[in-house]
Amino acid sequence: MNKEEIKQVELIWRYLDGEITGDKLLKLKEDLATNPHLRKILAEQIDINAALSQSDVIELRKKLKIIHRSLIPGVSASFCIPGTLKWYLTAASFALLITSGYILYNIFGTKTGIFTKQTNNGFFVANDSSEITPVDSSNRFNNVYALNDGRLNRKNQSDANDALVDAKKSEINENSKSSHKKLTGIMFEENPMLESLLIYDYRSKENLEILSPDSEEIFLLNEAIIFKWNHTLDAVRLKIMNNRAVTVFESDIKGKYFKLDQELGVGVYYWKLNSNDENLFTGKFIVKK
Amino acid sequence: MIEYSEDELLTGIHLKDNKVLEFIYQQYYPSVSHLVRNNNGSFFDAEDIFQDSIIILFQRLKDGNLILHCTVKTFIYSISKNLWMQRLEKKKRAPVDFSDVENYIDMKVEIGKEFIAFEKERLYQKHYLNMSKSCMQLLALVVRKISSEELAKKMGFKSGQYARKRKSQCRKTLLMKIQNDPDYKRLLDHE
Repeated sequence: MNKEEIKQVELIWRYLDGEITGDKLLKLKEDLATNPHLRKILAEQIDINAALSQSDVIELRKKLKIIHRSLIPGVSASFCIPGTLKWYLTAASFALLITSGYILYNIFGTKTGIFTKQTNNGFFVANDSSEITPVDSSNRFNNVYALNDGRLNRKNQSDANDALVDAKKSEINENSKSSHKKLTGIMFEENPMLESLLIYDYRSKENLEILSPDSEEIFLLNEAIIFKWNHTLDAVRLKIMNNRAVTVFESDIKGKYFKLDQELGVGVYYWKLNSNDENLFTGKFIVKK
Repeated sequence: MIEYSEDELLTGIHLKDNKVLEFIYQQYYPSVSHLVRNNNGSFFDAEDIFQDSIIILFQRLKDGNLILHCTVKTFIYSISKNLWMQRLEKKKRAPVDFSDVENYIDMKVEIGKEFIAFEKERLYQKHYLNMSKSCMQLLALVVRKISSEELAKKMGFKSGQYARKRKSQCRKTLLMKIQNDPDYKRLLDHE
């Protein structure tokens, strides 16, 4: 939208809110009669208002989204990981670590330490007494488990073995959507420390007012993220962090707005505006699919 | 799991009953998801299509113009299929395998005329639901034609002037999100 269009839309908003009266109203009605573009804007704004007025449909949409998250596997798991599942994931992580070691070993031909030795069938394991044990490939996972034997509780052996098998399956199924969703779920967790720094509707002594992103604004993946404030800033530092407080973007910027060219993945992000080591603003936005 | 009669399902949807909605999701979503994902759709498309079908059923119930000649399951599946076929058409993507895994009745006539209007409404509501809580709250009041001064009171703003400013900001944000959506451009092309 260019400036002229924005003016026209604002005029229509004021008209719909009943804020235009007298001569201005007459003039607008004349313009509406002769200007099809203005009529189109009016029709669209009436449609938008009508869509937002359907509070029962909106409520149902919200409910359905919540039900979807709670019932469809891969989404619900990402928000709440039960204790037993955490245990499986830990065991699975070990298995993946070992598999990675195996791949690296084969690629670079280096031994990873006293615990490993390649067997005739290309696989290597060690037991908890560091004694090297050749294994049959059909029994890989049970023997891989032997590496962890000294660290894991024996009563969980069968569970852990299942977890290792699951880990292998997920490794094979690299394109699994549910795995992807689990990852995005973790990225959506809030960072308590950064949450405590958030400043909403902040206006500094210099009357700095943040116009965009709105507080907790949600952007779709690949949507342009524009940082905008009410007056020109000479030199400020913009810093964007993910929910693990890792800086994903940092730059000195000037002017009234800044368009982020870098593509961010899905997740929760926190952003800061600093000037001469003074924090001017801390905000939060979300990127989702 | 509790079983519901057809009447109980329709009443449950009309009342937005959580238990009934969960039941419908558990029982009917898999076939719709299968249909969409086997025809150039993603998990997200399947979610949208299924939820939109329930919304259409809800709106029919609300308007009192639902004459159901089939089961709720068949209705949801049929609406889903038709919606997805029409969205594929708009996206210029071809279906792959539309062989039915459920009973199907052709409902194109029922949603055909209103398709563009429904799609626009869905788009507006989708972006509204993706806005910040404060903007959602504010815009919900704005569409009720509340004055800026009243708005300031309800939202806890300092003045009516500031309420007007926030109102304009939220509206602009919403409009930008809508206009930047590729689906919006596709809908304009088909008007």
